[in-house]
Amino acid sequence: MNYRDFFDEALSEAYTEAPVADDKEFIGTIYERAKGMSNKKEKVRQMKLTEITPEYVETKKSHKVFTAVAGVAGAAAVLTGAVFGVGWLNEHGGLKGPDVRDADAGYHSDIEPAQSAEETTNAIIASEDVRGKIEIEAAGKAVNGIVPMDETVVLDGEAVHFTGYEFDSAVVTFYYDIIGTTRSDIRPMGINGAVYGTAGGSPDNDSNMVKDCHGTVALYEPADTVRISFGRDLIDLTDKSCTTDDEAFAVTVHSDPDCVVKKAMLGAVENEVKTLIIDDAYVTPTHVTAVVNRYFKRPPDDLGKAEISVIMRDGTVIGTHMRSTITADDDSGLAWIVRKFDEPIDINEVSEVQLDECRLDSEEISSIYPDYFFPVTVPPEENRHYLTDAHVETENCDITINWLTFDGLTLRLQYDVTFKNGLPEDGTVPTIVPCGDNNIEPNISHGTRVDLLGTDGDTASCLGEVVYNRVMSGEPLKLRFRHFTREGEEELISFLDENVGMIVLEPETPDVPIAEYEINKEVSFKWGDKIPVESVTVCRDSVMITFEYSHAELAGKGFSLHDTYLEMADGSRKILDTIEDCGGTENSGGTVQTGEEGSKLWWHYELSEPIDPSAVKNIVICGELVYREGGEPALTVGSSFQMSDGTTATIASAQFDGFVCKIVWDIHSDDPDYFDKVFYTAQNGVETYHIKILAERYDGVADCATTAVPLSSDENGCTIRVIEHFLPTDDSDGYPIVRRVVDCSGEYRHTAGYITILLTEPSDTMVSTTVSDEVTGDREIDISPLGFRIHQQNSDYDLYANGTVTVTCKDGTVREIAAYTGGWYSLVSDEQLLDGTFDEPLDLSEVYSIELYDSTVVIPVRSGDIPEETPAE
Amino acid sequence: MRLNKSDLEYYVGLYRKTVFAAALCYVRNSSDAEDISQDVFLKLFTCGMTFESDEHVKAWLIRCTVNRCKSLLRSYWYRFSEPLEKAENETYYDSGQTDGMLKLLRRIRKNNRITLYMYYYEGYSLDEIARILGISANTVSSRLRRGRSQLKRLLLDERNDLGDELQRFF
Repeated sequence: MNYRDFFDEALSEAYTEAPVADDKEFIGTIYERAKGMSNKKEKVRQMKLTEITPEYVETKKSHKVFTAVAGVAGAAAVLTGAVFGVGWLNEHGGLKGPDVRDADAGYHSDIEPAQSAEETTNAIIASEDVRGKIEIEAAGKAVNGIVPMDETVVLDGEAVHFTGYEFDSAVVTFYYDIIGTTRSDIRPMGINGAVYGTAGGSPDNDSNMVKDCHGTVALYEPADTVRISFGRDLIDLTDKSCTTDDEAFAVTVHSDPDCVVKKAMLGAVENEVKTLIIDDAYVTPTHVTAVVNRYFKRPPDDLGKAEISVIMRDGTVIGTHMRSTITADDDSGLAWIVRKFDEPIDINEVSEVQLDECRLDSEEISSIYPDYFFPVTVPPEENRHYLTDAHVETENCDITINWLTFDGLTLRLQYDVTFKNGLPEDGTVPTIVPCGDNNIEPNISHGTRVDLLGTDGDTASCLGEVVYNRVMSGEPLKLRFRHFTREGEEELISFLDENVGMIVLEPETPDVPIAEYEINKEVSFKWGDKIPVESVTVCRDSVMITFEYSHAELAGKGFSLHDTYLEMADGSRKILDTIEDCGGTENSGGTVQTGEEGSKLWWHYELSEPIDPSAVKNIVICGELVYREGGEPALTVGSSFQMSDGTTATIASAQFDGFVCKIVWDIHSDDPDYFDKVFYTAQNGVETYHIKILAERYDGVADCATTAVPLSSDENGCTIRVIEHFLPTDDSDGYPIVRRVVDCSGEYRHTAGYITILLTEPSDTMVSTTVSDEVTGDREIDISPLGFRIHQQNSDYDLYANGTVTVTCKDGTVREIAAYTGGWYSLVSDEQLLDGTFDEPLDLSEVYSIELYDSTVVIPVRSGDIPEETPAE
Repeated sequence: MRLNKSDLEYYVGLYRKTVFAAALCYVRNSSDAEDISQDVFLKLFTCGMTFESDEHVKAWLIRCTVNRCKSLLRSYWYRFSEPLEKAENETYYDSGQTDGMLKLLRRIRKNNRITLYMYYYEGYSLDEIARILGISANTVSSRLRRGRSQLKRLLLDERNDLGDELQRFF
């Protein structure tokens, strides 16, 4: 064998292992993609022509000034003038007057350019002094893409020719060619508040240059000015260890404050199905940035696959490139996902940002927002009751209650909070909580929340809500405020009556029309279950549906309602869980609150627009049965359950060794193509991986990883094996692990039951060690019978999921064992963490050493083991 | 000038394996290599560039492939997602159906893999590799040395016998 044979054989195996399309199909796919690109451009271009307003293409005066002098030698003068900060720059870093047209202007007398501008095609000589001193003044909105530039900076004999840039206060992109090399290693660096940079380009060997490079940097937050550093040979552009010493040069770019092009969508929304939170979003004509709380349930590796689109006011959905920039900040637990549009869009027409199925509305608020912000509809004036002297002062803030509304089920309280030390950065504001006689929250309420109406200086205007599970007609309501302070302490704030420490509100019953309907009909749910609807209570601002059920029949089960609506006398419908008639998202207009009291269940819907309860003709209830926590069937190895998408899941094994927990499921579908359809699909012409997680991540569970393997596929259907492992972080040593099993295959998540995973191996068999070598650097490695974890920092070695480990046994045998892995990487600390589970449990007492990811761990001899220093030959 | 259909078919027939192999050297799994191949030929089809010769196209394709691979490897989601195909492959290996060169190839560090591939399989000189990959010839040389060393170790571990022809290289 020679090397060529080696590669021949490897390639042959590669073609075999994942059969590739034949050339005809391959070419056909390329044609389709090229055709799709063409169609997409036409569509977007048409929208741009009809919807972009003329002001977007207006060139700002400052840009004209810039371009006026940026010709021939003038370009050199501009940039070098800025470099050395001579007196012809104005206070913004721009140009003062026309005298800078002198080609030598701006050079210090003691620094001579190595080449003249003419000799270097308008080149600027990049000395050390260049770094960080090139400035580009605001050039107006970059909505039509690129503001042209024609500037060249010479660096180490290579000229970087900037052809244009975009800066819309959130994303900066420079377009440039690198002349004199085919190395495309000059890139923007992600420092100075920028989160990421990318670069591309096509080397042209003939002209010895790299054409069409583009470097993009997204900012943590929109800014009027950003300093973009350019460096060379940077692998990780977000490496925080990069310093200005790594810079080749830097450019400071200003955006015009009068031409703010971003559309900030502050707030947070969680989708009940996807369990994903968008904290913020910024839409610019060219990009959309979603700031995502990546630690809340959603596995971080999913974020890079999430689809982002914007929804225009006319309903048009504009997608973005699938694979693009994502970076994460481990300190805050946030991730920034930046996607680019094919063509600039009119942000004034943007209605919502959609990340997967989560939608964030375009409501803009200023500097403070609660953790969960939803669009709020303020009740009409005629329903408000105004209070006087409803004021309380605390150590941290003053609270003034202005008015309230109460319809018998829902209390809405508008109050202003003035903070003595400024608006809290975390957006926390006092919330209202109901009180009982003993200062214990009574069980008559089952939900509180607060929405922010706006801010004025240090004052936040809030709308708090409490919903009750029965009509509170003529009864006193006792409330107070609860505020979590910056120090993490809870502060309970009484007001009005300091002796009692609470306020007593008597709803004015005559002003609160309430319609209560005794229903006593059974509603059929999915899978044949039925539940009797006891009553429906319709109030001005709320609807409550009460179910009565028998513990004997339905113990441990719960219900989820959807497509439920009121039919009004005029023929209209008030849909209780969608946007149209409730004025807001599902979360704002149709928040579903459930509770339990005895054998009753109730659903509570808040209406954002008042209705006349007497005008309700019918209520249509659709729902389906789900299992509820605490009453689900116990699942064991061998248990099967039906999933929402019609497949059958069977638990093949469940193991826990005190370190690694591993569950294996087999899923059977009658559809032979189920694996391809579910686990690797093309959506809207964009390829995406799509994985269903079955065992929900819980608090105390770290680093879940799921791997799916097709076991069989024939005319009888398809069977998939799902291997899931996690490393419990709670105090589980010596105790079984109990986890909830969630079926995510349908539109709604269902708890299928609980599984108890017994300790299958004594936890003291685990091996923890630190290894170090030149290739991998320092590593901390933990190995248990079921799996392992590798932690390394500041290492160039990439912990990819290569999937196999080599085990050398004490009898001399060597085995390759498959490992299913999941990983985590910190861009901030350059830490890598990789954990995995072995395909089969290892008897560590029989193992001499394990080689994983180029590190060899010799299993230490334990008491009871036969001492043996080397494996037998 | 955009390629026409016959041009594309010609170059796919000529260089698809080259592109696939180069991508495989970087990304180590066949599906991503296939995706990248498609992207690269799509780019060839739509870029509008004029090429002087087939060799020019080949070098351009390899460079594009390397760029595309680097972009993929740098992407956050790639670093933390485990392609399902890999798990499938792992089971495939573990079942003993194959135990061959592809597995060894995947264990060589990526920079060394692509250098070995271009030198020994594609027949490029050190200088040509240096130009295509944008690195110095010295770096190419050292990567070749490291790659050979690593491959030797892997082959020795695998089969205890390198054969005469391979032995000459070490």
